Amino acid sequence: MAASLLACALAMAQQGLTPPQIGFFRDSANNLRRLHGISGTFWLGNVTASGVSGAASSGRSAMIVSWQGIRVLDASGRPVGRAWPSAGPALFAFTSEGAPALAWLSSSHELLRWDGLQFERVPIDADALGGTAVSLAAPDPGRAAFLVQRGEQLWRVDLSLLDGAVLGGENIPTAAAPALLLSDGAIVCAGDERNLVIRGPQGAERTVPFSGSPTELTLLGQDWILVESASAPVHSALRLSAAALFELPEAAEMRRR
Amino acid sequence: MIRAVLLAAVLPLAATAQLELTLYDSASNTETPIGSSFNVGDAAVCETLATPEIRLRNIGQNTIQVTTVEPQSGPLRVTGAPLPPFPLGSGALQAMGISFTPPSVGPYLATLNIQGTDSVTQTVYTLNVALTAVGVTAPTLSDTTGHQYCPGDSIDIGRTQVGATVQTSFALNNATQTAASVSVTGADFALAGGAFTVQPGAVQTFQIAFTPSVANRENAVLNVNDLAYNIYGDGYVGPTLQPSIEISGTANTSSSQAQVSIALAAAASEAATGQLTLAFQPAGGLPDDPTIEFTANSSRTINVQVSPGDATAQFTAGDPSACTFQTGTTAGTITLSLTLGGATATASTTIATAPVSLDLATASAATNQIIVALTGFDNTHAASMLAFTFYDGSGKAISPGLIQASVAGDFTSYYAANPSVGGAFALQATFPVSGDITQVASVEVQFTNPAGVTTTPGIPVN
Repeated sequence: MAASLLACALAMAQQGLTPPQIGFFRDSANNLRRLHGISGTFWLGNVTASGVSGAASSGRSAMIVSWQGIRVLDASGRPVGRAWPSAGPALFAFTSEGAPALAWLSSSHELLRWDGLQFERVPIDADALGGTAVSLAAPDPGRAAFLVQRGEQLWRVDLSLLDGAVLGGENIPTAAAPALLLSDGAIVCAGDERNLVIRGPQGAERTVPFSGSPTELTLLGQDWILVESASAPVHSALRLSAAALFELPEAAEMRRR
Repeated sequence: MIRAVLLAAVLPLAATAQLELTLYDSASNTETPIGSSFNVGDAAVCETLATPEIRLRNIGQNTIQVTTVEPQSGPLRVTGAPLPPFPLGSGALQAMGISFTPPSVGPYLATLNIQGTDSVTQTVYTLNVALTAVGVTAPTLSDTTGHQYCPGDSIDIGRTQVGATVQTSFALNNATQTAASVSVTGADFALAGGAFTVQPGAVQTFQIAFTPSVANRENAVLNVNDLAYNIYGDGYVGPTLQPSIEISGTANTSSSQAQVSIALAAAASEAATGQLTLAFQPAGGLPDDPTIEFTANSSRTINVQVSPGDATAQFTAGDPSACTFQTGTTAGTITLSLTLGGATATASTTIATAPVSLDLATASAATNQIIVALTGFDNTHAASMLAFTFYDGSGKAISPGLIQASVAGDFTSYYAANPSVGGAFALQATFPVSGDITQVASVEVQFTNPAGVTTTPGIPVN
């Protein structure tokens, strides 16, 4: 049966036209802020949470670590489900659709899986990683993929979410921390001086000039990576599909939108 | 004959009877004849002592042409008398005085010598008075070269830029038996450490600081007890900074990030601070766009500064050498205005109206409907029409073909309700589908605003 479109139904009355939202990020004052905008034009929303020590965002949702533990937030910044009582450093992973998936507690070496309402611990042998986990991805529902720092090298190590078994491991040549593993297998990492490298799932690399010194790469939104730097610009946003880097506005005290 | 000649030669030297010198006392209105000597008195070194009025009177019958009045220079000198020659009529008087300004301690001698010639007899009359005076000790002021100054002297403290300070050192030797109080009277001059006292017999070095507030010569007085020294300094405005605003990157299109830096025509000779301000004049009645701002501080003002030797100004937030600003998503003119150490500079960039620009366009199939999501901006804030054409896998348009929607009212309401977004938007349109939704492969979107029509390439339906 041939398809036909019955009508154009622009849902203007509900959410047809909205301010574009990229995701959430932790500002220099450890506040979680909503980031609005498009390539080249960004503006900050109000503080969504304070005392945040780590955050990642897919655009659809966010996972944060604060004194309240590890929490999942929806696209509007509202908490979803139950928090996990841990305030230590963590890595987060989302599904390719942007749904919360996994969290890695770096201090206790625990892997958590989000079931839609709460986190549950996944039994794994942390020693199997063979190094320090620097990034976590959720390539599919049954797998956790880590980027692991082993000495001077970065390795990708995949673990089964069923039993924690190691499903595979490979050295990632030329990659160096800070690095971010994406759900499709792409890797973003610091390159040579003044460069970021986007290494595609098939290994093809694109470089993006970057004047700062990247210290951390985290998910910011759909197609967006947050680049934090020790020197100005402190917060930048990398548009993956365009391999374009933009400076993010720094929060000003007492500023209200 | 010989005798007569001799008398003629001697008489002028001895003839004094027609000229008389007296010391006038104005209080009692009396005159006291001055004999062959006169004690002027004691004066402190550098100080000037002036005698009461001395009167030279012609007591003869004829006018006397006064040809000599001396000394006219030196520590002891005649004051108040006209320079000879001058006539002095019978019975007339000429007032004058003697001043004494000892450059050093000790006795001083001079001869007051007045000569005149009788205009009738040609007799020469001469008056000689031995003047005596004594220079006594006083505080002495000298600079670092040893040069000594007297009260009333003008002393150059230095030349410096307005707002800067120059200091000059001096030494005060108080050889007197009384303490010497030192102070400065006058704006922009000061004694480093404030007023002070030099005890008898002591020598003290000190500095006078000059901090000009104007680009001009300024004067003040250094007081040492009742001795006054005139001091002065010159203020000037340093070489004016000649900053220029340099914009790099794409600043004349919407939704760009451009960098601004501030170059100086010559290295700064002094420190200066200022501000770079960003202003936006929207095109044709459009509202302001708050996303046009510096990223370093999410503001339209950022502080700048230069230090001596700098060739560029430094920003105080973010990257010191270059500051990024967003061009926003509204057509208009962005003007950057700089004030720096009294200098100013401006630069502007105009962003023309443009067709709608899409940053992200996706289409996804859900149960019985296609959802098209468009993210982008319209820098005219006046998008009017949206049109969609769906295609199957073979590239054939799916019925009903072009689907149009008027969106002018929706966008007007949206921008009015969201003044913080500039011209940015996220739009989601849903299309119910009858039949096999999997046959819908792609969608083409046309977006119309006053600047033109934007047509996307085929957006795959996922």
